[in-house]
Amino acid sequence: MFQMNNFLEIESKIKKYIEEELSQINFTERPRDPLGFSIYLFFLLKNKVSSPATDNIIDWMNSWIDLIINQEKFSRFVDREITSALFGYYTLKINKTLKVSIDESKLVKFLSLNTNNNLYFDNLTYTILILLSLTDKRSDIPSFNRILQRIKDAIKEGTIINDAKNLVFSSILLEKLKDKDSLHELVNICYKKISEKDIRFDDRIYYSWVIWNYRKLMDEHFPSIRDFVEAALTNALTLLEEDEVDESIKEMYGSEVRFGVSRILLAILFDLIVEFNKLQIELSPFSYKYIKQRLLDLGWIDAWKEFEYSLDAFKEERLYDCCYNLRQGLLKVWIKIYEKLEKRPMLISPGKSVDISPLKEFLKARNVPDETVNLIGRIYSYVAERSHSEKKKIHSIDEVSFGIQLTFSAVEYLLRFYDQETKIG
Amino acid sequence: MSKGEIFLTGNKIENEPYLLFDKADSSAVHQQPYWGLRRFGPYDKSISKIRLAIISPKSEIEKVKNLIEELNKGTIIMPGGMPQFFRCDIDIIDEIIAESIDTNEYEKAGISFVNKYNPKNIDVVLAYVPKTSKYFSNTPYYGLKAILASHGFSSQMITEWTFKNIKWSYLNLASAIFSKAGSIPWVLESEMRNVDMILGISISNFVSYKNRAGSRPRYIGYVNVFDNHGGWMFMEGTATLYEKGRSADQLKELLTKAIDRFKAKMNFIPKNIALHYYKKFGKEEIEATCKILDEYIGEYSVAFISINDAHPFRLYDLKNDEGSFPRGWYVYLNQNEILLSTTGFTQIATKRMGTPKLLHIRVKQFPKEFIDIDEVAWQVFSLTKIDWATATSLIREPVTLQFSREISYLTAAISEQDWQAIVKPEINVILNKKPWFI
Repeated sequence: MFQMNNFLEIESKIKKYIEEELSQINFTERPRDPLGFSIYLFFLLKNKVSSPATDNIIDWMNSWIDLIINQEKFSRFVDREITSALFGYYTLKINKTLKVSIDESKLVKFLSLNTNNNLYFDNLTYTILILLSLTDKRSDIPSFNRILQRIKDAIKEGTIINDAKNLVFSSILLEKLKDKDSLHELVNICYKKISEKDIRFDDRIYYSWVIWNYRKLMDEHFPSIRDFVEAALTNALTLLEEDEVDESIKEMYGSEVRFGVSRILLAILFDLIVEFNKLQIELSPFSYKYIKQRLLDLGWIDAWKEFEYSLDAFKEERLYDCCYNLRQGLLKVWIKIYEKLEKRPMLISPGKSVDISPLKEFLKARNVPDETVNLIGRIYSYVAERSHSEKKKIHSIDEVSFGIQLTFSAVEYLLRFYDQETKIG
Repeated sequence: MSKGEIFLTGNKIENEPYLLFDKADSSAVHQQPYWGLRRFGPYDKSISKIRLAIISPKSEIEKVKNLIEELNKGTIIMPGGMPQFFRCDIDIIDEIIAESIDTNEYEKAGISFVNKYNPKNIDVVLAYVPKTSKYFSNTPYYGLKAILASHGFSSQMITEWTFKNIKWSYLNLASAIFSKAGSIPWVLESEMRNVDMILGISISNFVSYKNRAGSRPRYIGYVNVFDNHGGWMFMEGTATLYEKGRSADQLKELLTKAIDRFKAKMNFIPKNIALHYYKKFGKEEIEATCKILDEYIGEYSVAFISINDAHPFRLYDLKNDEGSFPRGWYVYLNQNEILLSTTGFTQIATKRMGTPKLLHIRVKQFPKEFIDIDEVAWQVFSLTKIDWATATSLIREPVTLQFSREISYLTAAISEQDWQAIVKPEINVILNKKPWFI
């Protein structure tokens, strides 16, 4: 059954987990994991999550930037503190919630003193995040291209996969830099690993994030990409659960007393599932089941096939195809009802688009209110107008998702009308 | 109070220290090494392949190769194998056959190996050797290890016992191979307070008479240096071979080397220093150390922490079912002395054997007190969690002593020439990035 409640549920659980965690943090103390919070902030704002927890973390990040970058009040963990503050600065800036200004040239100077082997703080993850945060200052940083080359070399040599979270951050960086070739190379590496079925469980989230966000770069593999991502997400909640293990392991190494989850992984999982759910449509299980059952019972299999095709097309982001199948499905149901109740075939001129006026008149003649008939007519026009790619009528996925909801509602109404009429008859 | 009874007060460490399993992600933390590796992989995720060479008698070579295959593929205890637990695979680069299990044959195989390879191209040598006592020096174990180490190769030895207990050997072997390849499996998540540098020191260790004509005993010292996260940084040994009673000279050589390298690696001079030693520090050693630090650092604080388990004290807790004194609990003998339990009752491990042997910890500080005894308890307790040779949660001794002990077995068995080759700069620069002796 075409039901995505499960993924929406996972999305909501992960969001709740993050928000609850943030609400328990005492931000007046110096955090142990500032980078984790900085990454949370990036993905929460990217997904426009608005909540008291988000407000708190925005406020904290403004003060953290001031403390770390302006006042230079570091602990021993200068590397993670600078990276988190700088990435937070970038996040707040692009989301227009930045309330503090910094001396960027001083920061650039500080970073140059902490560069070794073309890496900031000798750490690839920090380096990628710092470069991403400083892309606007590229021309002011003499070592920018050299450091970027180090990241590209890691992609070329394939060592970027050693730490899979770097796949995500480097893809964001390359997109920001509009470096299509390197991005393509990176996405190819991910797809190759996926095809080889050689990715460990947690890392699947990082790989999924990359191939899902850049799926347009490998259109031809969409079905397998979708399957991989769907499978990774279906099992995502197990990250928040304890593993089932052999008893002897517990005896030797102890039961897992308190398990932890990586904030970076969780933030990326949250973003992935939000992106994935944008391509999902939630239909009422009752409507869906009713429509499918009635159409199959009536033997109107060709009509049902159209709806199946439309949903498949939507999942594969073939939005014009989706609307075309919706139009065809609605029309077939409407004509069949007409022909059954009027006991005559509907006249259709070959080669011309179907004129729905007789269908509307037929409903009106059977005491269906004008407003309802006109609404069904407008639904038909809505999907029909969006069924040809050359017309360029579709501006967002949401329009098509709305079209699906409308069409299914109209079809359900028509079938219930038909049942009513045949009962009377 | 009845006759002969005394009352002691005590304290307890409430929570197990957290371990960190990612260099960049400080939320990748866990209290148990096994579970941390299983969930997050190692702290250092920068290597994708470990280049390994095998030295083994012909009769055992297939068994050893199968072992590596299992490590890569995974086992019930280690699902997902090396890729899951250490984010890398092991590649077998070469197999060298020892013609028999005689020490001479192993040494021959070792020599042919070191002549063929540059240590830059091999990360670890895995050698199958016959099981022998640690206390005998003329064995394939020490013979081969000395040849390999003195040419800059770190090695991991396995014996028939490894295969008898193979189910539980996999992960310990994997962790040892991974760390000997120069990578860090885990470190402490939070820093140990009030200390910059921790030294696991050992002086006046006897060197074997092997290949030597004279009968006068010679001694060496070495030090393992840890940062305040318990991360092993490097090992330094004395290049000079000392005669009896020259502990001050050994300390001088070791401390100056350790401080210099620490400074070069960390970009700051360590001011608060903790010295761990399994013996009680003598007056002469304390005075010599302070003199060296006076000259070398100027303003400093040093804690001489002696940790030993050779004492008659036992403690019990009759409130728990098994009666053992819980892990992390300690009693004060005076303000600078405690008895700490590290292997008693705990939630993080169920398999324990016998009455816990407590650690008797004594602290002396100069020029003035900078760390209290509770912080010392936490420091020693934390350092029991970072022995990379094992992923079990329950280790009795801190790694500072554990590593020293491993080296002392070795130095008692190898020749002066081998030791001097190990500490000479061109070899030391390769070896001191890896805990090759564990």
